[in-house]
Amino acid sequence: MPALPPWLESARRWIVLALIVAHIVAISIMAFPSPGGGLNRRDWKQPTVQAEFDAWNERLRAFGWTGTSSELQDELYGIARSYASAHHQLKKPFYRYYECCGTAQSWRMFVAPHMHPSRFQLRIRQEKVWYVIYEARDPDHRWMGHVLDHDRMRSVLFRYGWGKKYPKTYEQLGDWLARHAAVDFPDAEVLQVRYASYRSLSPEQVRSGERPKIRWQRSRIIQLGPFRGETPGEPVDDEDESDSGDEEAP
Amino acid sequence: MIPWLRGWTDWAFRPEGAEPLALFRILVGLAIAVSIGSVLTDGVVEVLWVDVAHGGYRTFERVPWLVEQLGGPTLPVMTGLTVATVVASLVLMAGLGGRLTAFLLLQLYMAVDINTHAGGSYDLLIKNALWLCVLTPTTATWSLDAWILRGRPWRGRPVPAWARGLIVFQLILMYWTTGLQKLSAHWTPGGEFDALYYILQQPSWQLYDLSFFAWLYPLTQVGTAVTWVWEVTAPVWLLALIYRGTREKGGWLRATFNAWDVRTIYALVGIVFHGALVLTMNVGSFPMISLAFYVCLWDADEWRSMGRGVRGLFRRPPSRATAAEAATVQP
Repeated sequence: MPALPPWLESARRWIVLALIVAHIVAISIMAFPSPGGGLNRRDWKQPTVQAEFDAWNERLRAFGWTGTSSELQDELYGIARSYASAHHQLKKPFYRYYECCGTAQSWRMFVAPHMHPSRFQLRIRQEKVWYVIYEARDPDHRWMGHVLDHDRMRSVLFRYGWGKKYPKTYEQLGDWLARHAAVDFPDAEVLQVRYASYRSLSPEQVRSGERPKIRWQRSRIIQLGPFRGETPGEPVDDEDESDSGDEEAP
Repeated sequence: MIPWLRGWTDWAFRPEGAEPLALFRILVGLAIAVSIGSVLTDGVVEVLWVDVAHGGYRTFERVPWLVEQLGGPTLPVMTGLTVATVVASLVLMAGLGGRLTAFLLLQLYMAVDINTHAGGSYDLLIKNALWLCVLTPTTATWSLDAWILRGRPWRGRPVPAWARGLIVFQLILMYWTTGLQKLSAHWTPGGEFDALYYILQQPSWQLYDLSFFAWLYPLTQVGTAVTWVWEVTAPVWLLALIYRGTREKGGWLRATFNAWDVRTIYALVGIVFHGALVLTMNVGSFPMISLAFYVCLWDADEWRSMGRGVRGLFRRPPSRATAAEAATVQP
C-alpha cells in the first residue's frame, strides 16, 4: 500500500486515537460497578443477602456504626439508588454503541456465594407411586439430562431457583417438560417440578458427616393428560409425600 | 503537538508482529464454534432459542432485528442461524474476509443469543472479543486474507501496537470491575475467606460432587484471598504491561516491575484460576474465551523468544561422540 502524505497520516492517527479513547471511555463507564437488578428490595429478603448485611453490620461497628442491620439496609438503599441514577446518566450517550456493537459490560460474576443453593428435581407419579426422573448432578436420574445439564440450561435453572423470581418463564419451562414427559412416560399421571433448597454445609459439618436439611420450594404439579389430548385426571395434592420419592424410573 | 502526547502516539502506533492478534482471532473463533456448536450437538436449540408458540419453552417479546427479518424465533430460523454462526466462526478462524467476517459473526451471535436467562458472562465477553476483531487488523497474518494478498498465509504485515493494547485493556477491565463488586463478607478481608469453598458447593455449576473440598478448606481460603487481591489490583497488571513496553525508559519502579516480570506473574495466576475452573465447574466457554485474550499479553518477538526457550528445553545436548566427530572435521 503506498504511504500516505505526512499530513494525511497525521490526521488518520488522530482520528484512530480519538476512536480508541471514545471506546475505552464508553466501556469503562459501563463496566464500573452498578447495583443493577440488585436494587430490588424483595431480593434483599433472601437469607443469603440478609446474612451478608448482618455480617457487614457487625464489621462496620468497628468503625463507629451504631445502627441495626435494617437501618444499614435503608441507608445503603438510598446511596445505591442515587449512585445507580448517576451511573445511568453517564451511560446514556453510549447506549446505542453498547447495543449495536456488543460492547456491553456487566461483570457481576460470583460476587457472593449462594449460601442457600437449590437443586432442580423432576418426579412423575404413576399408579400412585412417585418416581424421581431427574435431579441435578445425580448420575442415576438423568431424564432430559442432555438438555438440563447443558451449561446454558444450568444458567436457566440457577435463575429460576432463586426465590420466586421469573414466575411466568418458570411455569412455561414446567409446561415444556410436561409436554415431553407425557410422551416419554405414557402411563404417568402428573409431573412435579421443584427445587430442593438447603443451607450449604460448612467444612466442619461435611467432615462430621452431616447431611443438609432440605426444604422443597417452587413445587408445581402438572397434569400430563391434557398434553396427550386426554381430560385431566384427579388433582394431586402438592404435599402428598405418602409414597416413596426414591423409586427408580419406570 | 505536546511532546509527551506525541511520545504516546508514537508508542501506540509503533509497528509490531501480527501473530498475537492472529492467534486471538483463531481462539475467539474456536470458543464460538465450541460454545454455539454444543447447542447443536446437544440438541438444545429448540428449548433455548425457539419461541413457545413454535416448540420452545418461553416467549420472546423482543427479538434481534435479524431474527425478526427472517420470520421470528421458529425452529428452522434459529437452527439456520445457529449453523450459520458456527460456519462463520470457522471462517473467522481461517481469517477470510477481514473485519467484515467478524462484524457479520457478531450480528449472528447477537441474533442467536436471544434468551437472556440462558447464558452468562461468556456471551458478553465473546461479543466484546468480536467487536475487537472488527476494530483491529486480526487477519494481517496466519489467514486466508494474507494468502490472497501476499501469496503466503503466514506472510504478515506489521500492525500498530494499540490493537494488542485494546484487547488487553478489555481483559483487565473485566477482572478489575468484577473484583470491585466482590463485596461479600465471604470474599473481603476481615471475613473467613470462604467464598470459593461455598461457590464450589453450588450444584448449579459443579462438574461433579465437590464436597471433598471440606478436607482442603485452607487451600480454598488461599484461593479466595489470591483471587480477590488479584482481581482488585488488576490495574497493576496494566501498569506492568506499560512498563514492559517502555522498558528502555528509566525509573526504579519500572525496573522493579520488569525485573520481577509482574505481567507474567499476574498472567500465571489467571491461567491457574481458569484451569481450576475447567477442572471443577461448568461455566460454559468462559475459561476458553478469557484465555483467548491472554495471547495478547506478549508481543510477537516475546512469543518467538519463548518459543526458542521451549525448543531449547527439549533439544538434546550433543553427545561426546558427536562433539568429537564434529571436532575432527573442523578445518
